[in-house]
Amino acid sequence: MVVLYLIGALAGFLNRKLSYFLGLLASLLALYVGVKATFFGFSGTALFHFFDNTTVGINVDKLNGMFLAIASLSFIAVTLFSLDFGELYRKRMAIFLNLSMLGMVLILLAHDGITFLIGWEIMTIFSYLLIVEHKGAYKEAFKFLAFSELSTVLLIIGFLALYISKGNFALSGSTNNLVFVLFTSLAFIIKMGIIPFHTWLKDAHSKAPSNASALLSAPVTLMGVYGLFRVIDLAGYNHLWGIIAVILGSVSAFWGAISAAASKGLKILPAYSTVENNGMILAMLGFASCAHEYSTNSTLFKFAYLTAIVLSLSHTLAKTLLFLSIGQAKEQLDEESIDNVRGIHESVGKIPALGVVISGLSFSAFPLLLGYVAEWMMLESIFQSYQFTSVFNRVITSTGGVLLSLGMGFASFSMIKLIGYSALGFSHGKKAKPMNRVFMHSAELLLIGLIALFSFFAVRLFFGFGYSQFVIGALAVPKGWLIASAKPVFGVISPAFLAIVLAVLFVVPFVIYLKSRATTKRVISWNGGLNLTEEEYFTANAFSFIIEYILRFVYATKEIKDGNRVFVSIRDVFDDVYNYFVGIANRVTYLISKLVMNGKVYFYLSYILTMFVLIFIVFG
Amino acid sequence: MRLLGVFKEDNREFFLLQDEGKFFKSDAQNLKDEFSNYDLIKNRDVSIGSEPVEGEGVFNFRYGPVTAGVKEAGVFNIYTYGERILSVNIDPSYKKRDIERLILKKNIDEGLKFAESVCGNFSVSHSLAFCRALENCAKLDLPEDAVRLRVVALELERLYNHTTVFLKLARGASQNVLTSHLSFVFEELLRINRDFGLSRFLKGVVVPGGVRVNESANFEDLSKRLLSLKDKFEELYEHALKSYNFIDRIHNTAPLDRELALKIGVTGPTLRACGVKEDLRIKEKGYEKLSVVVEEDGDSLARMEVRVKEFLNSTDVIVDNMAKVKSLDKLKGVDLKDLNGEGIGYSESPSGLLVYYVKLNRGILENVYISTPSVFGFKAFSEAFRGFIFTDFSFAFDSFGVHFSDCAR
Repeated sequence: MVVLYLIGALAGFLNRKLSYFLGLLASLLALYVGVKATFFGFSGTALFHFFDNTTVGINVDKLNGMFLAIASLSFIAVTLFSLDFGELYRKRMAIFLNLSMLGMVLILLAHDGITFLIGWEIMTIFSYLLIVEHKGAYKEAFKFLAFSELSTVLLIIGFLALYISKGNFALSGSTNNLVFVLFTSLAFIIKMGIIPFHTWLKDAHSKAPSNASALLSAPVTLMGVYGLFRVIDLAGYNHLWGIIAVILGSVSAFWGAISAAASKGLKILPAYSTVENNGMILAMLGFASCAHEYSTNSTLFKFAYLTAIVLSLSHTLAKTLLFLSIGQAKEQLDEESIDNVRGIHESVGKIPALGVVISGLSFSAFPLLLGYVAEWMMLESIFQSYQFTSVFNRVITSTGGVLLSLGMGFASFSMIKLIGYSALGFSHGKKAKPMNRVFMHSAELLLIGLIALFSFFAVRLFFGFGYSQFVIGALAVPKGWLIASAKPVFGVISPAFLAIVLAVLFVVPFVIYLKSRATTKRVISWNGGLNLTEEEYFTANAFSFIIEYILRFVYATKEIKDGNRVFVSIRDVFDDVYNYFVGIANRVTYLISKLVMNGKVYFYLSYILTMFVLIFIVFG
Repeated sequence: MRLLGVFKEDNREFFLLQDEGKFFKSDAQNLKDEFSNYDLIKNRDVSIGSEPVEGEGVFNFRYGPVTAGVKEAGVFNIYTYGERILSVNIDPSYKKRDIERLILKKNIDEGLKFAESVCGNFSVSHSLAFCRALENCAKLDLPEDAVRLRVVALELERLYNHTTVFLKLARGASQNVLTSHLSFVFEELLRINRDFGLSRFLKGVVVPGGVRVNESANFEDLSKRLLSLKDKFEELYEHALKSYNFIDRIHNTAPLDRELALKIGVTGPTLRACGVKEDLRIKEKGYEKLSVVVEEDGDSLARMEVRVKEFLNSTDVIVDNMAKVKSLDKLKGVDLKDLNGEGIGYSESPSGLLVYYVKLNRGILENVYISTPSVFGFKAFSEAFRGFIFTDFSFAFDSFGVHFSDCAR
């Protein structure tokens, strides 16, 4: 797999299609390994001696197999999509894409901290290079790099702490080293784009080429999620960690959702949706930790943990689909805002439009889709917080639950805006640039199918993940097809049964109704007696202005009038904080540069001499 | 001094001006910069309102030309980025009948029919201003009874127009019981009109040099009916003021600043609701009982209050004049078929000052310019409505009592 990615990267120098194809093969192999490890108990280790008693290498177990399978589904779709989409960019994009995926595979299969860090840096560097493939994205790419390197530094400290506590870098066994838990968790939270470390995410995702955006938003942030799962695997459940995770996760989900609701940028909205979804995942891991502290007899901690896995799967698939579909429209129409891609179904095609609809509906927890299963599970976990005996736990988890629920509502609002304007909106007649689309459409259809399929067979996944205790049967639903959120039973749902019932009660009668009618009565909408002109269409900005106004203290909303130009300005206040620090850094840098590079020879000579003496003392 | 109109004559541009109770035309040269409402008047048939705005997310929420919320054909181009109204630009051209052109080369009788038809519910105001312009040209003085009967006709028109404004505002706030009562008052007023002038909308009452009313009308009975309606109207008004649901919708809605109102050239109840005590009727014969109503806030509520109080005062004026009419003989008008020259006439219509400029040659109309209150009212609405939200539309618009037909002629 690793070799195949490397060959794929090298092939990029010769032929980009071949490079993407090899990346696709490597991803299929990754899926095979992941599925085998998750569902069939496959495990294996390949180690090499590094120094002293330290070994480095790769290791396959159930946990990383599960995440490898999830990430590889995204890899497959991205590489398939890139077979067509990559034609728009230079050959080196294929090299960067393969190496970025190689980095992620190394992270997932890392036996130890050193391999993990190597994978982490490969992923970071080549993701950075992928972002700069888009013209004018240097600033955003640098921001991505800065945050990524901050997480690398934190990981180095965390893994050194692991080495000190265990005597090796192995990511197996157990440790209760607080420094390891604290620093690695923080590193992974930064990578997930959790508040307040989310500002890089919206900038980088919106600027990157669309296949890279899909990779950054789904599998790259998934690496942070996997990291947290691995930390829990190593350090066990920690109550304080859980409380912090619930707070950070729920605030992040809420903030991401309200920011998405007010977003106007075609790719900024999905980027904020990533902040929201990763917040939900973090909050569920926090719920699991709090529940474990409360009682190991309760099934809540396992259910919340499983919820985090299902949320990860759902987010990875739907976000990849969303970025690919939106990305195709963005490239073909050469537009950046939601308003300007109105009517994708007519201008770009029905498949990318369907991709936006399905992914958006999945994020809106629409029944029959995987997002519905995941968010139902999240709500069930929240509802079970009544079990906690500690008032502190109850207050934190129920407040977190309120924020998560509100976040779900705002997320639906944002997705309705995205779907309603971009995919299903009235076409403004703009012609899409001609492109080869067979592989792009194949990738989108594959993901659409998977989102529906995994919802229908969600219970079968639970068996594979090792959580068969949450699969029961009751009333008319046969055994093995009903999800129970607790034992004894608290809440139940059967996505497969729901799909069948809906098909029988709604779809079948609807089809019969359509077939039985000779004609369909259509009416032309009345617009005051005149046809609507381009400037008379209700804009996406107008759709969300009401919440921007009501929540103006959150958005720092300003209505600006400059002559005949009027617009609404909203801010992510966290940007202000970072900009403040960037301003300080710029001023300090300027002062130092003025001090050091002052054009005086004797000053340079003294500086060189001082540095020489310092180096001699430190390393001498 | 107030600029009321801009028109061309002999290839020269003239201004129709008002200085308190005096109206005159003046050469437009050297005066253009003196009046800030010059562009408004020049463009009154094409576009009235504020400049369109642009920016990210801004769109034109076009309301009209044929829509349920607006009774007449006309377009409100409402620019917004969602909820907040940023700019309103009104296109009255759908209602344009070009009456000032169609009336040319017509004799006085035909001209009167055109004037009456400009706006059905202002037919007395238009015919009165038209006839006064002719009488001004002919230097004609009217018998006192004719003057008093004209006052009755004009105030009857005011009554049902003010009732309509009150009714529309009540309906907008879903005050269904109040609306039903006001509908009754409205219908009763139209019946009184019929009994007084043989026309529910008082058409044909005002003629050059006189009036034509129902000679068998019992003024005493009409007065009693009016006083009874006055009591009912007052009671309804007091009830309306107690309804917070209603008052909340119109209080502080679309307020118009006094200075802006004067700058635009607004007159009538809209101006008086801004605290300006201006009403040309006060100096006219027949208005001994008139007291000029003024409110200070300039909002929809203030405009409604002015109209309601004017209703109450107008009934007194009508009753007083009906009682003072001595005879209906020799009031049926004067033949002006050979009239030459020019004249200016005005009327204080229910919505403000209405002025006609006419030029005749041997009884044939050679030039006519009509200055209507709705032109200035639309402009005032477009300014006052900025910053509000669309759900305030009916409460803002209806309170101005303006009409596309009056504006676009």
